[in-house]
Amino acid sequence: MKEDISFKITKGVCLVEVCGEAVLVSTREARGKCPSVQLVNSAAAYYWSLIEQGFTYGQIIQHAAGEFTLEEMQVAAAFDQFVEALTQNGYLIAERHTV
Amino acid sequence: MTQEEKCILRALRCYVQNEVLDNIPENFDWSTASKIAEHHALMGIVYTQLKAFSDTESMHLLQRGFLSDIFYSTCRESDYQELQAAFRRAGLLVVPFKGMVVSQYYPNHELRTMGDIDLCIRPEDRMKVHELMIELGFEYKVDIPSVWTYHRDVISYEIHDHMFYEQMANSVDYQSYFDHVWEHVDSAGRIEPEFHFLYLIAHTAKHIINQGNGIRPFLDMAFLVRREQLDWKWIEQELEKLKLLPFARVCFALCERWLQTKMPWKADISEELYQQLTEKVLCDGIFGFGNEENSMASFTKQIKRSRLPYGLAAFKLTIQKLFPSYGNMQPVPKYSFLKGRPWLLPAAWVYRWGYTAAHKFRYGCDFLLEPIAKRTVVEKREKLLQDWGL
Repeated sequence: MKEDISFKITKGVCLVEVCGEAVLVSTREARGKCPSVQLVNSAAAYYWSLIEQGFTYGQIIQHAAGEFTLEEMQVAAAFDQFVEALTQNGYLIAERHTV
Repeated sequence: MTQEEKCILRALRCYVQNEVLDNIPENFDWSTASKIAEHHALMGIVYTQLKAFSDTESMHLLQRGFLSDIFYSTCRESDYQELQAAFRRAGLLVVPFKGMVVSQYYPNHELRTMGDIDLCIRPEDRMKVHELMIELGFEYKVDIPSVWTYHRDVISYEIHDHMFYEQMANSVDYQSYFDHVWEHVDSAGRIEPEFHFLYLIAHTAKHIINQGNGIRPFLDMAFLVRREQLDWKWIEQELEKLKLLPFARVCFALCERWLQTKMPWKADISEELYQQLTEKVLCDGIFGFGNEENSMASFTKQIKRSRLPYGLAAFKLTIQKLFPSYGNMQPVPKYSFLKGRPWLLPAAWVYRWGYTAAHKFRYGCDFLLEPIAKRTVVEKREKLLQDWGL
C-alpha cells in the first residue's frame, strides 16, 4: 500500500493565460473562499494544468521530472511550495489517500 | 500631446498591428502613463505592450489594471454562460451587443474592458426576462425605461428593449431605425456584423455629442475592420440614411492615423483638425467625464436640435428651464407629490423658484444666464461637432 495525494480545485477557480501571463481567477462560485485574482509564474501554471487533468502528487512529480529532465527530489521541493501556497489561499484542496 | 500620450498611441498601434513596441522615450513617466491608460480603460492592453520596458515596481499600477481586466472578463464570461443557458431553457431570445460582441474581435478578448454586459430583448419579453433575472438572484434598478440594470456579485447587465433610445443633434429617428434589429439577427442569435457596426458608429456619435469619447471605440472599429469581411456598400448607404457618413469618415481617418489600419473610406482632414480631435479624444478619456470643455454639451445639443437662431433657441431653453415639464420634474424625489397630479405642476414651479431664491440664488442666476454667459463655449462646441461631421 502506497500513499498518494490527489487535488481538488475549488469550484469557480480557473487559470487564465493572456499575453504570456498566467492568472488564477475566482469567479462567483469561489467568492469568499480564495483571493479574487493572483498572478502565478509559468511553473505554477504548468502544475495547475496537470492538476486540472486529474494528476495525483506522484504522477505530477514523475511527469515534471521527465519533461524537464530534473531529479524527482528537486521537482518535489518546488511542487510542495506551490501546493502549500495554493492550499493556504484556498485555491486547492489536497486529499491524502492510499493506492 | 505629451511623450506618454504619444507612446501609448504607438503601443496601441503595435497591439492592433500585432507588432512589438521597440522603444519608449527616456524619462518616461510611468505614473502619468498609468493614469492615461486608466482614463481610457486600456490598462491591460497598455501593460502587455509596455511590460518589457520596466520592472514590476514602475509597472505596478498598469499590472493591477491588467489583473483587474482579466478578473472581470473571466467572471463576466462565466456568469454570461450561465445566464445564456437559463435564457435558452426559458425559450427567451436575448442578443448581446456592444462590448461583449466587439471583444471577440480583439486578439485577447479579456483585455477589451466594459462596465457591463449589454443585452437586447424584444419589448414583449421584458417581464419574463425580469422574472428570470430576479429568480437567478439579480438585484435591479431602472434609470431609463428602455434599460433595466441587473447586478449580481461583480457583474452588471444592461437589458435593453430598444437598442438606441436617445436623440442626437439632428432629426433622425435612431430609435426606430435600430428597433429593426430583429430583422438582422441570424439563426445563432447574433446581430449581423454590418448592422452592429452601424450601431457602434451611432453609439460613438452619441457619446461624442453628449460628452466625449476616448480611444477605445476607435480600437473597436479598427479590429472590426481588420477581422470581419463587411458589406461596405450597404454600410455606406445606411450611414447616409442615418446622416452619419461624414462622422464615420472622420472616425476612419483618425483610425488610420492613430492605428495605421486601412479603413474602407475616410475623410480628408487637415493636420490642424487631426491635432485638435486627437487632443480632445485623449483629454476626454473613456466617456468624456471630468473634461471641463464638455460642460455645455447638453445645451449645445439642444441648440443644434432646435435649428433656431442662437438667441431664439437660448430663450426657448431658458423658458424650459424656468418651467420644466411634468415628465422632467416628477421623477425628482423632492417633487414626488406631483405623481399622478400634473395639475399641481404650477405649484411645483413656484416652490422650485422660491427654494432656489432662498437657498442657491447665485447658482440659480448663473443657471439661467448660462446661454448668454457661455455663448462662446457653445459656439466652439457647435463648431467641433461640425468638424466631427455631426
